[in-house]
Amino acid sequence: MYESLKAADRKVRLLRGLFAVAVVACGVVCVCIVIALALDAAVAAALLLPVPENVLPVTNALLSTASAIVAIYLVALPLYRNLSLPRFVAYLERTLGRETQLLTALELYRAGRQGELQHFSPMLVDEVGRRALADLAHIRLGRLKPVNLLYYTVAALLVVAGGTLWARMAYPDSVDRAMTRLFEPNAPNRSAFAVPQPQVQPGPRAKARVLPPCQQLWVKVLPPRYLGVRGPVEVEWGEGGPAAAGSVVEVRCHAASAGQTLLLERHSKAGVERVPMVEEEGAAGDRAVYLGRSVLTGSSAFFVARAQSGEVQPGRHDILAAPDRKPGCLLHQPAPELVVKPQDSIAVLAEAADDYGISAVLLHYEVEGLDDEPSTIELSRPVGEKRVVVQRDVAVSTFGADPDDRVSFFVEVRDANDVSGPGVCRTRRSRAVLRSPYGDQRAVIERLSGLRNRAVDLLGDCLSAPGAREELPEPVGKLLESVDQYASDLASISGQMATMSLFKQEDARRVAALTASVEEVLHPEESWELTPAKAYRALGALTRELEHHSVTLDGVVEKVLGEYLFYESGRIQQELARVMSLGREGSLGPAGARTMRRGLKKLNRAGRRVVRLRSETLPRMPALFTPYLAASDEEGFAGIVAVTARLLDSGAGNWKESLESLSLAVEHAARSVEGAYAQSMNRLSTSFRNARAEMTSRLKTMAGLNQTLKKQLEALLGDVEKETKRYIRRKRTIVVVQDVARKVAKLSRKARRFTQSIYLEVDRKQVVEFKEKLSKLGRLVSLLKVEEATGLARDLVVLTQSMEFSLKLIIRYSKDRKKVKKSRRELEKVHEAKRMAESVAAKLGAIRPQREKLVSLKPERLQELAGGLEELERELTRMKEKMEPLEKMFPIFFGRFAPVLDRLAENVTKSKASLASLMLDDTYRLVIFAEESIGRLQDALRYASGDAKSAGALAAGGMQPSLELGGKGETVSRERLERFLEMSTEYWEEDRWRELTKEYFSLLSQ
Amino acid sequence: MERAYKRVLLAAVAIACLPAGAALAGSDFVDGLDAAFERWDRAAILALEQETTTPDGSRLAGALGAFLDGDYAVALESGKSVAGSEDEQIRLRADGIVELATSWQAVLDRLTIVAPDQPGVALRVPAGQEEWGRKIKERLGSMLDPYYEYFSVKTPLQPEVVFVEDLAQLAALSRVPLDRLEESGTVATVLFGKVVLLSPASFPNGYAWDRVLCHEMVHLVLHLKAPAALPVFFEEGIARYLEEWSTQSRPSRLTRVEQSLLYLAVEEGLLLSREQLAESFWKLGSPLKSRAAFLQALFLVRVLVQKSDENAVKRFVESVAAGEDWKSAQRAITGLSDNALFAWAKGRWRNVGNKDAQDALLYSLAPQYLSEKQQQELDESRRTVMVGDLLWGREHKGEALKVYQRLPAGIQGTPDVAWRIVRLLLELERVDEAVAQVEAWLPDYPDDSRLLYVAALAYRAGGQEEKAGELAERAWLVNPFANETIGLLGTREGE
Repeated sequence: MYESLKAADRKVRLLRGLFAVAVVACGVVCVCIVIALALDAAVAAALLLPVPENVLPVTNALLSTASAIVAIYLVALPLYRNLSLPRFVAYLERTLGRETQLLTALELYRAGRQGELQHFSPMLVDEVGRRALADLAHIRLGRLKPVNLLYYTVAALLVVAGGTLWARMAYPDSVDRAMTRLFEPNAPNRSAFAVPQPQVQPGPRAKARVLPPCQQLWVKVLPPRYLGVRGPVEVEWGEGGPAAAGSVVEVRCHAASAGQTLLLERHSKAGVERVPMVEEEGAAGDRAVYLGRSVLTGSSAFFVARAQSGEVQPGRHDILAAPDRKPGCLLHQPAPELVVKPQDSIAVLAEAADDYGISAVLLHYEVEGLDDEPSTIELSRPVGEKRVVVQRDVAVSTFGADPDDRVSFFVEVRDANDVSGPGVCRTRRSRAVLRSPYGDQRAVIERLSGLRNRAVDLLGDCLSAPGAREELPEPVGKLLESVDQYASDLASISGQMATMSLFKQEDARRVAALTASVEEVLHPEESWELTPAKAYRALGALTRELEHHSVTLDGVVEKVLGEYLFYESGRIQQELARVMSLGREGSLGPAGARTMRRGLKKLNRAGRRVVRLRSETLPRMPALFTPYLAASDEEGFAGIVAVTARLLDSGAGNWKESLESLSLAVEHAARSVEGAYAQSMNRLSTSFRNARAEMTSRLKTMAGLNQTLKKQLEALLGDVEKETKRYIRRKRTIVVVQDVARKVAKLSRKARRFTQSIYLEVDRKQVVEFKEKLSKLGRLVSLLKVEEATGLARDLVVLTQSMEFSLKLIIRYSKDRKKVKKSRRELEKVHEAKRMAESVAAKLGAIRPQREKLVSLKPERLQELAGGLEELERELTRMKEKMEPLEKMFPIFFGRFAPVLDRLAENVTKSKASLASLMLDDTYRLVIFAEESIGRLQDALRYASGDAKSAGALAAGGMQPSLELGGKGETVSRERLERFLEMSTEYWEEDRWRELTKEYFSLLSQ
Repeated sequence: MERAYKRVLLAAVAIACLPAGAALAGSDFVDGLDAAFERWDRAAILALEQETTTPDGSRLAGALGAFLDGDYAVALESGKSVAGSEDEQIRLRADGIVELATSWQAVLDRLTIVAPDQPGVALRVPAGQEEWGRKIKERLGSMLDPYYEYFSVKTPLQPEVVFVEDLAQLAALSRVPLDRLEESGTVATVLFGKVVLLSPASFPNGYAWDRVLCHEMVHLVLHLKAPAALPVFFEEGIARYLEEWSTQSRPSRLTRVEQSLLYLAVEEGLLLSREQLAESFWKLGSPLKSRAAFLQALFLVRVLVQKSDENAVKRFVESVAAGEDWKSAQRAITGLSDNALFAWAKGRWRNVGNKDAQDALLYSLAPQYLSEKQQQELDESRRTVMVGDLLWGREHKGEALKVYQRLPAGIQGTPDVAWRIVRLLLELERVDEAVAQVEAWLPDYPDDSRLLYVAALAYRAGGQEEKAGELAERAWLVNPFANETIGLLGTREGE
C-alpha cells in the first residue's frame, strides 16, 4: 500500500538532488564568469596603468571576494534554505504556486516505514500517494529556478570566454605585454605611459648630420641629480627623446669656422628662450665647436639652432617632458580612530613609493585645541629609495598632549625632486584620544553631583508628598519608583568607584552604604507588595534616608572633587614651572614662543576645565547679597584662565613680568584647592567628631553602669563568701548535686529490684509511684531544680515508709510462709531505699536553705543588680540604634563596633540569666568581660579622637582599627565541660550523665 | 579705646627714651613736645618750635606739627633731617616720627579723598568706594556735630574720617599688632584727630559703622575736652553710652542678646576686674570679652545717671575737664566711693543679665560656651540648614522652609537662619508670618544687614511702606556694597 508513497518520495528526493546539482553548477559557472571578467579587467588595467604593480593583488582580492559572495549567495544560502525535505517540498509548492499532498505523502511514508500506519486506512494512504504523484507530474525540471539560472549563466560564460579568446587572438602582442606587466610589474617599462628612463649608456654615435653653419649637431642630456641616474645621454640632433624636469640639454654645434654667432632656441608652452651658443676652446684648425645649454622645466619643448643672420638650421630636436609623479603613500597602522593611554606608544606602519625616489617620510601631528599648526616627527629619510615601508613606535608622550586630548596625525611622504619642488603625498588622518583614569574620575564626579541633586529633588518630593490616605495616590507610587531607580544608579556608581583606584575605598563604601540603606527601606525582607500603609511607612523612612543622602553625597562630591583638584593643581603647577623656566630665558625664538603658547594654552584649558567642573558640581545655594564692588583679581582657577587668556591675547611680550601674575594666580588656585579640600574634609571630620563624642559619652555611661554592677557584684560575692562559706557557689553546688545524682542512681538500681506482687494489693500502686517519682527526681537533679527535687525526695521517703508498713503487715499476719520470707527480703530492700531517699532528701534540703537564705538576705541587692543590668541593656540598645546611621557614614570605623555591641548585648542577656539562677561568679565574669569590651571600644574612640588630622584620615579611610574581642567565657565553659565529661564515667551507665552535663551547660550559656 | 591707641603711639615715639634714663627725662622742651603731641595740640607745638633755640629741636617740632597737619611728606623730610642729631632724645623722637609718618603716608596715599572741594567732614575712602563716600559725606556732619554740642566744645575740631580697606591698614596706622586687632574684634580707632575705621566692604554683610563712628567721635570729643584725664573704663563707658545719641537722641539700650551676654559673663567669669578695666580693651583676647568689657563700662556710666540725672555724664566730664580728679568728680555726682561705684555697677549687671536670648547668644556669638549637647545640636542644625539650602537651591522652597523650621527656636532666631526663613516665607507669599517673625527677631539683631534687608522686604510686602523704607535705609547704611540693599534703596528713592 506504500508503493505510491514510495514512488512520490523517491521522485521528490531525485528532484532535490537535481536541484542541488543545479545550484552547485550555477555557482561554478558564475565563478568562472567572474574569473574571466576579472582576468580581462586585469589585462586591461595592466595595459593601461603606468604602474601595474597593484593590479594583481587587487584582482586577487576582487576575485576572492566575488567568489566568496557567489559561494555564499548562489550556493550556500539556496542549499541551506531548501535542502531539507520539508523545505524542499515547500519550495516545490512555491514553484507550483499551490498546496500539494507532497509533504503529507512523505510524512506518511516515513511513518509507514516505522510501522506507525497500522491504524490508517490503506485506501486513504494510497490516495495521498497518488495525489502526490499527480502533483509531482506537474513539476518540470526547467521550472526549477537554479536550473533555469544555469542556462543563463552558461550562456553568459560562453559570451565572456568568447570575448576573451577573441582578444587573445586579435591582439596577441598587447595581451602578451599586458600579461608580462601583470605578472612582472617590475620588468623594464616599455609603455608609452611608463616613466621615461634616460638611457644610461650612450649608444653608438649616429652619423651626424651636416647642417649649415653647423656641420654636426649633437645633443647631450644631463639628467638632474634627483633622478639618481649617473652620466649624460647623448643623442642625435632631431632624434628627440624624453627628459625629466631639471635636465640640462647641451647642444654642440661643430662648425666649420670659428667666429660665428649662434643661438639655441627652446620653444615650449612658456614661450621661447634664446640661449647664445658659446664657442668652446680647444678646437682643432678652423673648426669650432659651439655649445648651447638650456635647463628644462617641466613641460615638453623643442630646440632650434639659429644663426645670428636668422638662418635656421634644418630640423629640430624634440624633448618630451617626462613627468615626475607625486609619491604614493599609505598608512596601514594605526586605525583611523584609536584610544591610547598617556604612557602608550602608537605603532605607525606606512608605505611609500615614488617613481624617482623618496627623500623623507614624516609624521605630522596636531593636538586639537592646543596646536595652531602641526608639528613634525621624521620617521625615515631614505636616500633615493623608490619604495619604503616605515614602521616605528611613536611614544604618546612625544605629542605633549594632556589626558583626554585628541591628537590627529598623518604621514607625509616627499620625493627628492629639488627642481620643481618635492612632490608630496599625505595619508589619511588618524585620531587618537588620550584616555586617562582622571577623565573617568571626572565623569564619576559629575555623575555623583547629579545623584546628589537627584537625592535633593527626591527629598523635596518626599517632603511634599500627600499625607497618608487609604488609597495610594499615583504620585507616591511614582516617587517610590524614582527612588528605586535612584538607588540602582547609586549602586552602579558605587560599583564604578570601587573599581577605580583613584577613589578611596572609604568613599566607595560610603556610597554603597547609602544604596543599601535605601534598598532596606524599599525592599525589606518581607515580600514587597505596595500597599498604601507600607508605602507611607516607606515614605517616612525614605525622607530621613534621603536627607542623610543629600548631605553625605554633597560631602563625598566635595571630597572627591577636592582630590581631583589636587591632581589638576599639581599638573598646573608642573606646567607653570615649565612655562616659568622658559619665560626666564627672556626673548624667545619661534620654537620657544610656540612652546610658551602651548604651555599657556594648556594652563588656560586646565583652568577652564576645572572652572567648568566646579560650576557643574557645586550645588546651587541660596545667597542674600551679591557684592556690588567687583573683585579686584579673579580668584582660583578662574584667575588662571583670565591671566593666561590675557597672555595669549597679548602675544609675545615681556614674558617675565606677565608670568609673575600667572604664578600668583596658580598659587592662589592651589591655596583655594587646599582650602576647599580641607573644608570638605572638615565637614566629614565634624560629623565624625560629633559621632565620636556621642559614642564616647554613651560608652562612658555604659562603663559607669558596668562599673557599678561590678562593684555591687564584688561586694555581694564577698558577702556571700562570708555568709555561706562559699557553699552556694556553683562549684560546691555541683559537687553536692553530683553526690545526690550518684545516690539517686544507686536508689534506682535498688528500686528496680522491688517486686510489686509481694505487696498488698492496695499498696502496689505505691511501688509504681515510687519508681515514677524516683525517675522524675533524677531529671530534676540533673536540671538543678533543687526545690522540686527536695520535695520529691521527701515523697520518696514517705512512700518507702508506706511500703514498709505494707510489708510489715504481710509479715505479721500472713500464713503463707513463702510469702512472708519474700516480704522480709523485700523489706530489707525497701529499708535500704528509705535510708538512701532520706540521705538524698537531706542533701537536697541542705542546698535549699542556703539558697533561700541568700535570697532572703540579699533580695534588694539582687534586685538592684538586676535593675543595673536592665539599664545597661537599655543603654546598649540605644547605642546600637545610634550606631546604624554611623555605620553608613563611616563604614570602616563604626562598622567594627557593631559585632562588639552585639556580643555585649549577648553578654548582658547571659548575665541576667546567670543572676536569675544566682550564678554570681558567672555574672561577675561576664561583667568583667563587658568591662573589657567597653574599654576597648573607648580606646578605639580615644585613638581616633581630637584633632582634625586623624579625623580627616578616618574620613579618608586611612585608619582601620581592629577590635579583637575573644570569647573568654566560652573557653572556660568548654574546659569545664571537658572536666565534667571525664567525671561522667563514674556515674550512670551509657551516656546519660554526658547528656545531662551538656544540657546543664547549654542552660548555663543561655 | 582712643587713650589706648594714644599710648601705643606715645610708646612708639618715646620707646627709645627708656634706655636714656632719668638723666634725659628732664628736658623741658622734649617733655613739652611730648605732651603737646599727646594732646594733638598743634598750637603748643608751634609755640615750642618758635621758643627753641636749637635747630634740631625746631626741626623736630616742625616734623611733629606737619604730621598733625597731615603733611606727611614734610614730616618725613623734617624728621629725617634731625635723625642724625647729637641730642639722643631728639634723635630718637625723630626716628619715631619718621617711622610713623612713613606708615601713615603709605596707607593714606592709597585712599581717595572724597569731594575735597565740598565743605564738611574730610573723608577718605578706599579706591572704588568714592560714590558711597559722596553719599555718606552729607550725613557725617549730622552724626558728629551733636557731640560737640552735647559736651559744649567751643572750638570744635573738624575731624577727618578715614575708612581703611582692611585690618592690615588699621594695624599699620594704629601700630597695634594685627593679631591683637583680630582677637579683640577692633574695627576702629581715633588717632591724631582722625577717626580711622574699617570700610563696611571689609565684611560680606557690612557692619554698623555709623554706630562705631559715633562711638569714636565721643572719644575724640572727650580727648579735646579732657585729654588723658579719664580712665579707660569711663571713656569707653561714656562712648558706649552716647554712641546712639546723634542718631536716636537717646542713650544706647541693651538688646536681649547683650543682656544674655551679661548673664553669661557673670556665669562664666568673663567680667573684668577694676584693674583690667583700666587697661585698653584691645588687649583683651576675645571679642566676647571685649563686648562684656564695654557692657561693664556702660554700666559704670549708667550708675552716674541713675544716682543723679540725665546730665550727670555731662557734668562729670565738665568737672574732669576743669581739672578735678575723676574720683572726686564721680563721688560728687553719685555719692559713692570708687569701690562702692564698682560694687553698685556689679549688682546692676547681675540684675540686668538674663537668659532670655541665651541660645541666640551662644549659637551666634559664643559657641565656645555651648555644652557638649548644645554643640551637637548646633552641628546638627548646621546639617539641617545645609539640607534646607540644598532643597532651596533645587527650588523646593516649601520643603526647605519646613526643614529650617525644624531647627530649635534659638537657632531659628539667629540672623544666619532668620533671613532664610523670612525670605522663603515672602517667596511663598506668607507675608503675615514673615512680618511676625521679623518683629520677633529683629530687636535682637538691630544692626544685622541681612535681617534688616528681609525685614524691609517683609514690611513692604505687608504694605508698611514707611517702616520698610526706614529699614531699607538702615540695611543700606550697614551694608552699602550689596546690590540688593542698593536696589532696595534705589526703588525707594525712585518712588
